[in-house]
Amino acid sequence: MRAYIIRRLLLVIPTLWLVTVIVFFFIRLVPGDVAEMMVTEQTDITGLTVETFRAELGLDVPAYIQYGRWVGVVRNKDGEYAGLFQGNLGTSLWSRRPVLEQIIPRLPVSFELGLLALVVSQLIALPVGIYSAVRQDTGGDYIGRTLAITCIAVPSFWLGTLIMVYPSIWWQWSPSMLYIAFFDDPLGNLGMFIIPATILGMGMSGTTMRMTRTMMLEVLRSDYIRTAWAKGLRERVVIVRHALKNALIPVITIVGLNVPFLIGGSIILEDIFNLPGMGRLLIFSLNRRDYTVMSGINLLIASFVLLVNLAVDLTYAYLDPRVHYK
Amino acid sequence: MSNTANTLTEAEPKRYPLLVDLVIRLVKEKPLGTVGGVIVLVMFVTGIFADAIAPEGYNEVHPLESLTPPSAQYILGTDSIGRDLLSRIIFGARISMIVGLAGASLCVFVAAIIGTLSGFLAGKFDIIMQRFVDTWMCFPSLFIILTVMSILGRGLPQVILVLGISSGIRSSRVVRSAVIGIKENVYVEAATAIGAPTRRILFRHILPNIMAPIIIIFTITMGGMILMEATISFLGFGIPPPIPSWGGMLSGQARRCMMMAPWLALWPGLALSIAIYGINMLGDAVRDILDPRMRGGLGRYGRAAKRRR
Repeated sequence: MRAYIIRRLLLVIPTLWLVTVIVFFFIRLVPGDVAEMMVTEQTDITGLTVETFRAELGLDVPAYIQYGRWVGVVRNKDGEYAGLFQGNLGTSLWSRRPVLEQIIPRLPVSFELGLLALVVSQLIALPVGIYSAVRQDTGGDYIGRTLAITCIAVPSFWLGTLIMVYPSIWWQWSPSMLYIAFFDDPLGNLGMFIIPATILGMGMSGTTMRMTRTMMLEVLRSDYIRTAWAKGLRERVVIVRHALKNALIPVITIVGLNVPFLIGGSIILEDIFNLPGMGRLLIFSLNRRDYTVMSGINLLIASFVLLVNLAVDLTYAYLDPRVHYK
Repeated sequence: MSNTANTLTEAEPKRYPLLVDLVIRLVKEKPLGTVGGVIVLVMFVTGIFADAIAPEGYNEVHPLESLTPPSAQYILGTDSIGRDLLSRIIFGARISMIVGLAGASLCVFVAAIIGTLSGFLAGKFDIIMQRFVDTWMCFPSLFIILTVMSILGRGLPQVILVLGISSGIRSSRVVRSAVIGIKENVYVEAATAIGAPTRRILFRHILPNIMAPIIIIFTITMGGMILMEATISFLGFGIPPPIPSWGGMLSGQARRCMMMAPWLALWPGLALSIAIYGINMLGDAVRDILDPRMRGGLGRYGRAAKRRR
């Protein structure tokens, strides 16, 4: 067990390094013509030429030195180490403010949306999935499975659009578009998050529902469940205490694998419901080609997913003693 | 073999090519999958013959008839500059079809190359490649796709390229594990023993056997592709107007007019949902037929599938 944990932890290092490589060479390596575009668009700054702008962005040195400076292992033009190792994600090309300063206030918003969506998806998926498996091939099972398929097929941006449009036409009611901070008004804040979180959670619940059903079916056929029935245990005890516990282990993996989906989906819902989270910041910086903010967000998100995957793997190893470590 | 009786009753067991066999079994065994297949077929026919089916062109403006509610002339109504919504949805099927087919083909191509090389060569190449794939999967696909699209600029070829490569890298895992499984077979060992060149082993022994996972990846990613294209077009980074994309039709100018013209919010999304529902149903059925193990357990057809083998 300990060897597995150590090996799994060590595996994080090369992956994290590759994350920085991908972010740098796909996004951060600003093409030269962008410098030109930005100079022509920022005409209000006098004396700004393409050369000085490039020098300011550090585009005048070879790519590997740019990478070194960005990570923080090579001195920058001021002779300082100011990169990722120092907790410095760079400065926004447009607002000239540190990237981290812009991202941090948005983290709680995205986090709250994601967490609520996760809770909603489990609240929908687990009961329906279990019921579908226990009452396999009955009417209820078919309804449950249809629900799962519908949740997967209906795009969240369409559902969000419908909720913005139709209730306001029919009942003059529309979701609040003004952001309410949690500490100002917890209930108002939850009321604002619950609709986008439900839509986001529904998208995820489809896959979880199907996985729960499949795993429950498999477990329900195993010998120890037959033994539990033979002992004359009540149905509730057999299902909850004997079957569910074992069926849920792979479901945890699916939940973990769905975290990127959840984060990706939050972009759409933050955009529709006007929530000031990371997704909106990404869209905003993409529209402005703010490469430093774009790379900062992608780097943070990928590192977060990496940590979630690590947590899932370790939980899995802890919960399922059958995981064999080569 | 347990099915000798079966073989005896059929005078000469016909062997169909993989795809024909797949279609026959789909219709025989999977009613829901067949429904999905029909939906996909309808969508493809609509897409291919859009010019003949659509009452108007996708960008034919009637400024005087903007935001007309659904009527006899405009069955689904018109948009803010008076374009017929039905025609745009019909042409939208073509865009979705192109993205789905081209994107899924590229995805399968990338997945086959990475997966086969990684699984077949193994060793250092495999380790390095798998770390790269691991890392790629850390990026939520919508984040990385939007980012790359904003750098490349909007357009149909860019959408296909980005979606195809991105999901190809993701799907390469499935191909890799299939290749590793096939490599263990005695016939590969035999081929190696008689000194067959690597190229021959790859093309004669490995590639024909990964066709099942390839078809599965193709059908399953196609739905994801179409949804992803609609999503990024909705957010304004996909296919530029006036080309009708089901996602793009729900954003931009249409969004500002939805309160006055709620039909603008309804139809493109409905078309998209039905299309994705159909593709998913078809994909699930295809997967069940080709590889019952991938369902993660023996379901309703599990026993039947076993008996057949």
